[in-house]
Amino acid sequence: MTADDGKVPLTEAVRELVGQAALALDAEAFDTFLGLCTEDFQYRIRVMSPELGQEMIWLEQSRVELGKLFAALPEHLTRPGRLTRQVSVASIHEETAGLLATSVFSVFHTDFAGRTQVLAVGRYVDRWALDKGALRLRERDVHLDTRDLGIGSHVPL
Amino acid sequence: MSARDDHSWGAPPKLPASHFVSGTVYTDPDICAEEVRELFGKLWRFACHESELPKAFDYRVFDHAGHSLFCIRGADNRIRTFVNVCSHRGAKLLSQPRGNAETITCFYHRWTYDAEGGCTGIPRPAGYRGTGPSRQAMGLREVRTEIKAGLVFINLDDDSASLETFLDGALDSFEEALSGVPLEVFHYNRAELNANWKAWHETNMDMYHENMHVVLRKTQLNAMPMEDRTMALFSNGHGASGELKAEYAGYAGFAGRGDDVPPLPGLKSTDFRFVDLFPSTTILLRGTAVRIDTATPLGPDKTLLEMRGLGVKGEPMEHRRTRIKHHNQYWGPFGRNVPEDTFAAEACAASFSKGAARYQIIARDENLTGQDDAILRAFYAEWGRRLNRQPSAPELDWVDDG
Repeated sequence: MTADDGKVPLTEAVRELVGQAALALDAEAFDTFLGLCTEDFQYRIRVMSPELGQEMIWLEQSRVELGKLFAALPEHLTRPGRLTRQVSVASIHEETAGLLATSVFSVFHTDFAGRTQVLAVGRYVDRWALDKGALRLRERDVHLDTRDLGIGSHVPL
Repeated sequence: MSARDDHSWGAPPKLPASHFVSGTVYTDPDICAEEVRELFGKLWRFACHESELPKAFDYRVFDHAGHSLFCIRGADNRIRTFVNVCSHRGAKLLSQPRGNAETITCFYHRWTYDAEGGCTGIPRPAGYRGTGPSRQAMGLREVRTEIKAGLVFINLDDDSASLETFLDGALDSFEEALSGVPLEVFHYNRAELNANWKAWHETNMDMYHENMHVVLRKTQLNAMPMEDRTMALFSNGHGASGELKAEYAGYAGFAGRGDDVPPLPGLKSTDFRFVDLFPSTTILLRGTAVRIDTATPLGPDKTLLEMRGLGVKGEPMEHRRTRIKHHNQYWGPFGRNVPEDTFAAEACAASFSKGAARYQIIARDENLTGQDDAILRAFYAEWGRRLNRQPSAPELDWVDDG
């Protein structure tokens, strides 16, 4: 499979888009991030609880809900500093409706004093689809390994 | 009106002693050790929800007052609690946070115990024949356990009053919602905060910090003015809000909340109320969702915060999904509400830890309406009585001024 220009293999395009999505979130360019997503995009943060012996959903948002969440962020009291995502695409498989990409990620927090700490690690399981000739993110499941997020986060990972 | 110099800043506020708190209560390691011993070691405290132990021999391990404990459901369906320590050499018995064990076997020398705490096996008992230890005398240390509205409470003090006496009715108005239908825990998260445990719990005890949260400004302040709100005080330092209201349409994305899943028994989807149980458990009912949180001191400047969310046991998947969404809109690590309370707790702790802040003012006196500091004052009065210290000057003995 190739992207609409017929030159770039879709797997390579996905690899680059995963990186672009991370950069957009790091820059808090949320419109840019949403521009990479389909209209029916779904975002979830899943966490396995050893205390309950079951998976939990810590955040589930449609594209519309995510847009409202992003728009409200400036009004919230959020963790000062910035987040940096380190993403490594580990595998890409073709599916009937597109491509399934699994990436390992770390999110670092850098405070105003320039101190950086790991905030969270986990995996992105992304479903990418060809939408009007372009690859777009249709689903992102964030499988979070880190369960202690300190004060928490208003910003999706 | 003017700024203050260091002398003025460090001087006790000119207020009744009950209306301010010294920063020392948040920072002194000796006080923290006393709190663990005299409060957490002697009072009833929420441990887990009974749904976390659905079957016989299910257990749940947790830390309390510096001890590792576990609750376990026996073959007789009764939930008991034990110190998680082998009678032989003191090894920690259970290391996983949850599991199922009809027989608990110590990994070290294979002593075994049943779910009622009895010692069922000592390898090579003949070796003790001349010296004494027998299975009958080597049971686990049991911890008092009582259940109220599905909430499992424990108490390390064998001589304390009953749970009912301790609660003084503080949970009564929550009972219908918590036990009218069977509930189960769908959310659990724990986080270590860089703050004293009381700094966290304070965020649950005043209503007027609602102004800090945009989500509450837009869904609660608009629905019920502070002057119309009430609160209730109970013996032993507990406090509760009266009936509060929310209008969810005020916050983008929340419109229609509550129309899509049944509220809990006795509640409308727009109802909200909370109760603070001394020393550090809070239960919040928000129409369709429940949150239970506990704060455990790990040191004067470190707190373990544990939060649970509950839904109706056996409810249809779509209802559960919606209920989880309702829970997560406000609560959990990605909620609109909780990360701001944790931020506030850490911000206060940072100021008190190095002495930049010296006192906290809890002097609003508004006839038990929404902006009264009465729940905080009741908390600190109980704290003072239990530790025999004045919260405003903890180096001095407690004086009960009524």
